[in-house]
Amino acid sequence: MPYAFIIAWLLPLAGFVTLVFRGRRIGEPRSGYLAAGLMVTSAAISLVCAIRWIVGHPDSLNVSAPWLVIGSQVVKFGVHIDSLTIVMFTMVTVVAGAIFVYSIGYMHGDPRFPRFFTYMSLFAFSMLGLVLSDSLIGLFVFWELVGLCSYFLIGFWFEKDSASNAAKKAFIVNRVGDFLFLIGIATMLGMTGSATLEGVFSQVRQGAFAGHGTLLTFAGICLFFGAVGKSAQFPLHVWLPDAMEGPTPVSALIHAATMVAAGVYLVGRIFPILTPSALLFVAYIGAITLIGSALIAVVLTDIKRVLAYSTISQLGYMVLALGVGGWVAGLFHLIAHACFKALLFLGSGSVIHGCHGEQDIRKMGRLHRKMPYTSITFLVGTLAIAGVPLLSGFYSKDAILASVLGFTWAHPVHRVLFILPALAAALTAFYMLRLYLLTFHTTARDEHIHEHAHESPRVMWVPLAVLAVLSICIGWFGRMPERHSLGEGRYEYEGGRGLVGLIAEAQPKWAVSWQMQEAGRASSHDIVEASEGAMESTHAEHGFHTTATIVATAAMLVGVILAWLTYSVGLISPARAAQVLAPVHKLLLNKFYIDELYRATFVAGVLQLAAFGKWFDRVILDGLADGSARWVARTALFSGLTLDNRGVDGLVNGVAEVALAGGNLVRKGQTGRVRNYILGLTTAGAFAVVVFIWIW
Amino acid sequence: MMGLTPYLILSAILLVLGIAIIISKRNAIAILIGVEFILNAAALNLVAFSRHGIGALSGQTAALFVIVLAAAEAVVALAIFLNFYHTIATVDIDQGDQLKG
Amino acid sequence: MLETMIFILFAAVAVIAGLAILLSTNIVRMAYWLIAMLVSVAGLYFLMGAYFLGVIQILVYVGGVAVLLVFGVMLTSRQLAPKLRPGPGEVVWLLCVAAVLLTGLILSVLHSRWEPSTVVAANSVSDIGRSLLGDFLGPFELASVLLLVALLGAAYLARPKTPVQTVQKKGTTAL
Repeated sequence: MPYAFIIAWLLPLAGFVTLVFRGRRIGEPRSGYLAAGLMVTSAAISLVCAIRWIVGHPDSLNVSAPWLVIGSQVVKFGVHIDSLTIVMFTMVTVVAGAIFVYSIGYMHGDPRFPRFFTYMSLFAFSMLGLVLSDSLIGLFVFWELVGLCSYFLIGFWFEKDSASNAAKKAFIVNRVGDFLFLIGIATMLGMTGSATLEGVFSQVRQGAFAGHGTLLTFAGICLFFGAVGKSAQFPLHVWLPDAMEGPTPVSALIHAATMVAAGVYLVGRIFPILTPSALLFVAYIGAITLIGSALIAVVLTDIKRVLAYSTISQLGYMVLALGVGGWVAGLFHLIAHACFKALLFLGSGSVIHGCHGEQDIRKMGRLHRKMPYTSITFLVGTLAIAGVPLLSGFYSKDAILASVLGFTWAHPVHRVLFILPALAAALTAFYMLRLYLLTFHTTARDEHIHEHAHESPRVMWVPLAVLAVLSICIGWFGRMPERHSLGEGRYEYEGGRGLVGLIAEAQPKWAVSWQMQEAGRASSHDIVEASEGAMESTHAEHGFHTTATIVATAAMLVGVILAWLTYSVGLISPARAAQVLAPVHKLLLNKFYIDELYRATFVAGVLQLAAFGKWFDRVILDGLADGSARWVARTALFSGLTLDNRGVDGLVNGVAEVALAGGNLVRKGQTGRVRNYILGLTTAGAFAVVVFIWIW
Repeated sequence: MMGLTPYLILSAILLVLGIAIIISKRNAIAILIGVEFILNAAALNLVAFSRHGIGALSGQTAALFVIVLAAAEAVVALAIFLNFYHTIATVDIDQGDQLKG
Repeated sequence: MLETMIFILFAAVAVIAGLAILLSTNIVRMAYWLIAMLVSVAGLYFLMGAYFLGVIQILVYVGGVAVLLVFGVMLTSRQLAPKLRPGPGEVVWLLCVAAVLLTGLILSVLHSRWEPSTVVAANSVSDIGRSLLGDFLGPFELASVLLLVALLGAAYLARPKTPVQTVQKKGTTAL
């Protein structure tokens, strides 16, 4: 049975390979049919396997094979399948299948239609591989692959400068997170000697980090930063809004449902080795993210931008949940969010398609009659994300709030961790309903667009309908399993039902307690205590659940009523409100000026470095090269002209001239006259006489 | 009785005079005259030595030979000089400087 | 006493003749002074008792060589007019060299110790003849050959040739 998963995983790969080589020849629309067909087949296979899993309760599967040998380390490449894997896998394939089908309609007419499906297939393969991987390194490989596909797809319309810039921004910001992620992996590998999750867990349990509690916290935070980058948490969230430059199906699949979820999935997987300090850090990051992006989403006017910030906010919810120990809650919200966020994005894509490329909601309005299917499905998604009871979002948000409540009850100093998500729930409801009302109801603000708006073809709204159905019912029949202690620190979970139950099966059986963190090691006694301590939020008391539900519903109602009053009834004027709260409005509109801050610091710094590099190259290196060349030339000239011409030749000529002069001088003595010769002789003779006399 | 020394001194003086004549005269005949001075000085020297016991009679004989040779030499020199005069119509031996340079 | 005075007389004549030749510019006068010198040397020979030699001196030197020189002067009389003098530099140099040479020679003569002379009696002609054909036979025969050769040579050298061509040469001073 698990091998069926592997087949389902490899189908998109087959699609990618085929399209890479033959895509252009296959052309539109057959390349789309191929990719979508393969994806839907994968979805079908995974659904079948999931049902069989639920029914048959087989044990989790681990299959691995050695892949890389580094020195004495053998890095294995393997596949780990437990209930969480099955849930994630099924979610990815189903949502991807819907989006692929939708894309056939949305990308109709694009000159690079086959290439789109090539990239999407590669992405699907990578995402599934990420989910299946059993080791941090394997996960990292696919992590990078999905990042690469994201880059390709964001910059799909690379003729637009804004698109290619956004792709670069996404990749680079992700890189920052990945860098720390890699440090975390290296630390883990170094301290535990293993890269597989199972291996790491057992090593840490046996005290691999003994005496290095801080190091474990540090490693955990580093690993978390990978998630910060990939899941667009503060401070690495800046790439996601810009990533809306890509086609809407890309936004739906990658930046709503799957890739950004990979970060949350990672945190869920490494949960057992995150120390309480690390988890606290995670929780606060999540909290900051969710409130900040929710506030920004209130004032934006581009459909996709609102949805992007909404995604960031919901991801913050998931991260917060994991940080306070609500493991099941966070991951349950991940699945639910995937469904309705994909739905919302595809719906917005449908709107954009119908309005012939317009994305500004200020130019829309009254589209309800013109695009009924889109409108209704969009409403379903809005209600789901707001947390209207009985829809999936209600259950997941409720579970998160319950976990947070349990945590803050035990640690009242972190009360803010409960206040913020409650506030954000109200904001979420508000801005999502605002989006819906401004787009589909109120007044048509642009006559021209309203004139030509039309509903999308069936190939586009059928997937919307499918996702809407999922958004409604995915939370039903869910119940957390009961925990039975089997003594000696072992536990058994029983009675879980539905999706929640499925997820809960895979939750970690142990975690790092405060004592463990300080000591950096564990004993079985500590483990018992630890799992009690960290899991208490997961199994929130009944009282917590009720309180959480009331709070969540109240927040939702506040938000909904406020939005209805403002936009539908018109009691509160948004323009007046913006005037009154002008500074706040400006701050939110400029996204808290974070992009500007980054540009002033990091970007400016890098540009300065580049400028310095250019200066260094131009002045110093070129100067050196040119200078040495000039010096050589000058030396050659000197050697040639001065040394050779004047020096050497002068010397040679000089010798000759000396000889000549000497000869000329001596020549004067050759007068040819006998008398002179005789005089000379006589002089010599006189000289000789003198010498002789001297000697004597 | 006269000693040897005055004769020797006289012959030295005559020798130097002869050399001076050769060097300072540009007329070819004058050079021949100078040569005669030198030869005579030599012969005088020889005879003086012979007279005062050194070499006995051979000094005089030698002086005889000097005279003979001087005669022969004068003849030949004159012949050469006449040749010279016929080629270059002047007695100035300074004009015979074709070996100059 | 008498001998010394006669010696001085003859010596003075010879030296004065030489000086006169040096100072003269007329070739004929020079020839005359040569004759004076030759005669005085002959006189010295007589004084030293070499009678035969003195006679030969007069016969051959004066009667032969001097006459020959005068003949030479006569044959080249066309160019007698220009007075040919040496340059002043030459004269100075000559004087220096001559002085040095003379001083050297005289000093060497004076500083040498000659053996005390045993005055040899006047020699007769027969003695000279005997030595000629005895000890000096070789040189004697060679001398005669030499004379012959000189004769022939001179005759050949002085034979008449193509007419005299005047070669114009610049008048130069000495060194």
